[in-house]
Amino acid sequence: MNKFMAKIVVLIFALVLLSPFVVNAVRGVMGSSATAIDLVLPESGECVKDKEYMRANHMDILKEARVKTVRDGVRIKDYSLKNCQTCHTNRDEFCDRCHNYVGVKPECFECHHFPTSKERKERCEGN
Amino acid sequence: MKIYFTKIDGKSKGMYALLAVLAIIAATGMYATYAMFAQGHYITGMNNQIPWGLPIAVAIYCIGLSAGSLVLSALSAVFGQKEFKPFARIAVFVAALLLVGSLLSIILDWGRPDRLMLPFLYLNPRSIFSWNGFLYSSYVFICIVYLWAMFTGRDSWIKPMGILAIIWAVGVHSGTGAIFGFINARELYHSPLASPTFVTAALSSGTALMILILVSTFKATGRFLDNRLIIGLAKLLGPFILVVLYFVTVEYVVRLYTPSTSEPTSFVLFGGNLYTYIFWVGLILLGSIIPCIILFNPMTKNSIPWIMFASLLVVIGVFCERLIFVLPGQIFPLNLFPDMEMTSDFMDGVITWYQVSVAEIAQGLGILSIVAILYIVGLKLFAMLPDEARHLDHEL
Amino acid sequence: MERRDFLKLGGIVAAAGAVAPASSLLYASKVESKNGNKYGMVIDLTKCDGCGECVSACRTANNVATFPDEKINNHLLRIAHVKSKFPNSQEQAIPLMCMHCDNPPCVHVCPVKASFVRKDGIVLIDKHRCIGCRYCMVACPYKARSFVFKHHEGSSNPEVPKTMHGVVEKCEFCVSRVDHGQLPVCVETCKKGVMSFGNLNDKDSQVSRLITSGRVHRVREDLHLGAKVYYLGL
Ligand code: HEC
Ligand code: HEC
Ligand code: HEC
Repeated sequence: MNKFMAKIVVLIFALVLLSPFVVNAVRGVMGSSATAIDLVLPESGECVKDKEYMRANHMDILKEARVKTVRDGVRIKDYSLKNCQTCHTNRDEFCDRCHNYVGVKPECFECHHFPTSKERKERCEGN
Repeated sequence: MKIYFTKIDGKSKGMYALLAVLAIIAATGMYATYAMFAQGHYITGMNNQIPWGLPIAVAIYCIGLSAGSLVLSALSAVFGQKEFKPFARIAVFVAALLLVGSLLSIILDWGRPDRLMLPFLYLNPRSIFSWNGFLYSSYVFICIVYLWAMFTGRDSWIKPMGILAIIWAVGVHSGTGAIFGFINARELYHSPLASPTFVTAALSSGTALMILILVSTFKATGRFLDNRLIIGLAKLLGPFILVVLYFVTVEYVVRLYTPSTSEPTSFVLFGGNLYTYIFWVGLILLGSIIPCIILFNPMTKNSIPWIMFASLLVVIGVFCERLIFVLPGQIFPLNLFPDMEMTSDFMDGVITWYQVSVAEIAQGLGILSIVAILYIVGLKLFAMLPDEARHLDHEL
Repeated sequence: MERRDFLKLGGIVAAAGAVAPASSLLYASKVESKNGNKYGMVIDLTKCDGCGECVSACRTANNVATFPDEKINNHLLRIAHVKSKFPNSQEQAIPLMCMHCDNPPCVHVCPVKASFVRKDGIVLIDKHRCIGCRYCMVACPYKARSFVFKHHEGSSNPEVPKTMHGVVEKCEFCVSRVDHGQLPVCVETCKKGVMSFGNLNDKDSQVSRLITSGRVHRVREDLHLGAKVYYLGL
């Protein structure tokens, strides 16, 4: 009886540990059939680095920039979040759309102002 | 004498009922915690004047309790009091659990518990908090290794592990006291006596809690517990209480004597407010004097019910001590311009009361019930309890 | 190696490991920027009438969390009214903010080094790292720090990030403005010239001249924190 209990405990523990992977795997299988998300890209200009690099490493760029800015006082204009907004004007159509797709939720926008298309529209109407 | 440790059966209706009740309290506590993060910490009694409230009091209280239980196991392992050997395992187990409880309380008190790993990534060697994060987690680890050594019968390990655990416990509890003692800005915190007071209060409350836990667990599981063992523990408890009382007296007399601190001190001692009652009634009368009378009185000092009662009072009294430790230092306004009167719209120069909220109480109780649940489950899964706890004389 | 030796060695190593960082706990580390700037502020109380314009400017410029409940309402800059205990004594308005100490207790206690002193002497909070334990608020003798108790929509100035629920905020001398060569908002707003901001390492700056005039004091100098906000006429 007790061995059995122990096995169940171990099994539950293993399941809990593995659950994120399972969920992601299932999501990946389901998601792969869907068409690729359409991001609204800026019509002109070039990103601060090339597209492939940005896609893979934009979070590292941002995080490095924020350490440099906040802790060392070295303001890297190119890699600041404020700079991203000049081209990627709408967060919901670009950052959020991709993040929702891959299932990450950066907390940055609780503090950093990065307008969504709705906010931008409201602001225009307000003016 | 060979001691046989066994698991508890844990199939009685009473136990399931108890577990169910505890689970409900724990769930309420977790819901309260969730509400704090979903709605905002304004639903707690904390505010910008009083950034630390009940959760910190609960946390340092749990830390304190864990010291005492560890000492109990050290009595047999390190100090050669062989008669307490039956309690060695359970004492370490309770110590580890209480520390987990206090860690839970601290972490859930943070504004951003999701950044849990950061204190380990970015140690700040000048921060006593940083040290404590390291000390607490290694303390849990040491307790686990100690338990493991006892379970696997590695007798040669037990003494070194016991010594290490004691050194660590002193470090942990001095560190916790130093959280407050180091704060130069607040008159009611800054004190070199904070650490020793904390350690001794930890010893007295922990011993008292162990008495309560042992008697009730042995009774609930129908195991034999020799009264003389509990009386032996109670003999320790009395002097511990006196030492705490002595430290508290010294501390407050010095503060009352010093002009710069006499105002906040008399606010606590003679202000006629809630903290005055917590101090005089909770800490001094219920927490120290009555237990001492019980524990030193020849009529009552050998009676288990009286000892239980005294232990309960000590456990409550030390909680009052923790409240007195944490709260008045923040409630009394900071003294930016000595000898001047100061007002502003940021609660400067006025006494801001801490109104404890339901959410915080629910959270605190929830954490305590999580500890209790883990305790019961632990007894069921591992052979913690001795079949019977007899005094050594029985062998003769 | 015998087991006993091994244990001994282990003990020595552990002790050394514990003592080495402990020494840094014991010795106060003075922050000194040898070359470059060290920012400070001088507040001339004789000119201040406590109108509070600097406070409201600060609130909008820094998206300070603002709530109707005064207990959880945040303040980076506040105006205190102080008077001595003599009868009929005059009330003096004193703007209070983070004093940007050289030896700041809040930085010493921060378990994650989220609070830190930047090279130019400004005490900052890295809000990306702050865990919200509020130990700094307990440690600060000036009550300069506030915790954000609740989610708030404070986007009055999109240029500056607001502070989210669960993190501590305080006056940072408007660091992004300073980095771009502007003055802090309060200094710029005050029409009466109460506040002056500048480089303490520069002998010719206005702040240095005011300080060397010899009549300046700092709040709670007895604590030896090396505050960099000086008051004329305190
Ligand atoms: C608690 C609020 C908060 C959160 C959450 C936050 N930041 Fe920041 N961030 C700030 C503040 C404050 C500054 C300093 C602004 C200044 O000095 O101009 C800053 C500065 C930065 C900067 C450099 C200045 C700029 O405007 O770009 C970067 C880059 C940055 N943050 C990235 C991030 C990223 C990426 C995240 C999410 C992972 C994030 N931040 C989350 C508050 C926050
Ligand atoms: C000068 C305008 C500009 C700025 C500034 C800019 N981007 Fe871009 N970004 C672009 C353009 C244009 C593309 C599309 C590139 C392409 O399709 O080749 C792009 C592509 C990207 C992509 C890849 C999208 C995909 O389809 O995979 C990411 C991620 C990205 N940007 C992130 C950022 C971040 C983060 C910042 C701020 C540090 C930033 N960008 C700043 C113009 C800009
Ligand atoms: C092409 C898809 C894509 C786009 C577009 C994109 N991201 Fe991301 N982003 C990702 C992925 C994938 C991750 C997760 C990487 C990981 O977890 O390792 C991520 C992670 C991040 C993170 C780190 C989150 C964390 O919690 O560590 C930040 C910050 C971030 N993105 C900012 C942005 C910003 C700002 C934009 C818009 C300017 C943007 N991203 C646009 C795909 C994208």
